[in-house]
Amino acid sequence: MAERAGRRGAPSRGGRARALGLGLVVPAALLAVWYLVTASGAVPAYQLPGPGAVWRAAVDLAARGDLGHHVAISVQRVLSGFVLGAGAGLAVGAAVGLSRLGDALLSPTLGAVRAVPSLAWVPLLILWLKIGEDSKVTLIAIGAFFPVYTTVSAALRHVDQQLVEAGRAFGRGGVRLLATVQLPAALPSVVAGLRLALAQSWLFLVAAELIASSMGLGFLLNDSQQNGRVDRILLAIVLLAVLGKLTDALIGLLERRLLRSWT
Amino acid sequence: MHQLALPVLLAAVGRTFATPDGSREVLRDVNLDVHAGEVIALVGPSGCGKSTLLRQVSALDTPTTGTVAVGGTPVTPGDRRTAVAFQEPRLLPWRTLAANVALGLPLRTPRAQGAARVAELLDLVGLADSATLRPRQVSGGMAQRTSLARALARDPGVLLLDEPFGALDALTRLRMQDLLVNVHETRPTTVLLVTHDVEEALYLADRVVVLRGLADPATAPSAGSVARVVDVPGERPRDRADHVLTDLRAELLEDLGVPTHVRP
Repeated sequence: MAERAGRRGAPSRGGRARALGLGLVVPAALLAVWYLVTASGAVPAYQLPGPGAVWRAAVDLAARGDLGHHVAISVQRVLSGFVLGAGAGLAVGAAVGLSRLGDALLSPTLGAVRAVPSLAWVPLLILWLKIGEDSKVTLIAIGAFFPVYTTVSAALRHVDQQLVEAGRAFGRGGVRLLATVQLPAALPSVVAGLRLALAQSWLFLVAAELIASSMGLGFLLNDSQQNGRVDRILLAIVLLAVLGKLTDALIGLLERRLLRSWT
Repeated sequence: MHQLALPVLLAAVGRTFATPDGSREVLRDVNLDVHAGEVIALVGPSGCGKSTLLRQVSALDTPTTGTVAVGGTPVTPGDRRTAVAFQEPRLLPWRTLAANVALGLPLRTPRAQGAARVAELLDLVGLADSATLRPRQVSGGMAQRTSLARALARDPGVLLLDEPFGALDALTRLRMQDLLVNVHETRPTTVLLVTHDVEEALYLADRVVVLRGLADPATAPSAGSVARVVDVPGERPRDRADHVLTDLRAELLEDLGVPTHVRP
């Protein structure tokens, strides 16, 4: 057990730095290859501009104040959609996972709704909520809802019944039983669901912004495609990668805190 | 805060389960009058309903017929007066041993008082040094002792033990039996102990209740679940090698269909 904890649970400071360093090897290599193929002229700049050009595009957009704006609005949309969707996913997942009635009543319908491809919602949301923030945040919330709902309902349904019975035997019932036994038992799955939901939120953000928006990273992608600005397209992609990884790392931190007692 | 040992009265208790293949009767017409502070061992062939009987007293299950009363009033789910130690330790893996014992404390126990009680119980079961360990870090015997401490934290009038030492190795089991004798002496409580170990029953109990399997073809169609009740002579702690006990043991094993020697 000690060696397992050493491997996965709580890496030492040196181990963490080493992991970080190793994780940077591939991005650095990709950057080098990118630089080489563009600087050597192997790939024409109108198809693939070099890292320098993308950097200049970033500086240029930042100087006009547009870059910060795009990033801020996208992050805001992702976070509000994520919070709303994940919150609803937790509540509905708990209702379905804990009560047989909730399961019988809701899971067939939700299963069917989940089968609808995300983009199919866009026309409806735009008609109902107009091309404002509401329609985008709602689409992202739909995207964040399902991973949380699915993992939470399954995890609560599969909580060890012997532990639940032990909780009951010691006088826990209802909310108290949920707080003492069921929720802690399901916690690792809940956190995994939140992580998936966040990734899904970024996916749905781009879908929402590509179709109808005048701001945000998805808009930047669409706008740059129409203007043939490949440098800005690459910039938006890199920013999405970095932001997605950063928010995921935040959840990772939360995970480590929450699951400290599990390891 | 001490709760006194309480008497248990089982009156015409029966339990029938509905299964896909029709109903299955597990307990029939169990009548048992357990005095306050008495230690009762329930023995019988597997499937005879020992654990089911215990679950009726803990109110984790409800009898199909008859009534179960503790201290003169019927038991209710999560009853404050009873506490169970299960066959498996059933500890919460994310909690320390101390926090697991604390789960047994009656609700709304003041924090400081609860912490003191948990420390006292961990000391009693010899786990004072392991309070901050988690269940997966300890042996099966330590986990069972934690489970026993958790049940004792409830300061129960009736302690229900469902083969709590069954999965332990022989030596650890003997130590746990002595621990139980010790606990019962320090803080008398009524004990209902389910066991498949006749020696354990004779070493610990004032009376041994032998249950019969209702599905057994040798059982008369109208016979109740209790085959016989044996009074065990002598005060605890008993001598494990006492010949009176070894004679009783042979007799009980014969009752359970396992003769101690092959007949010619």
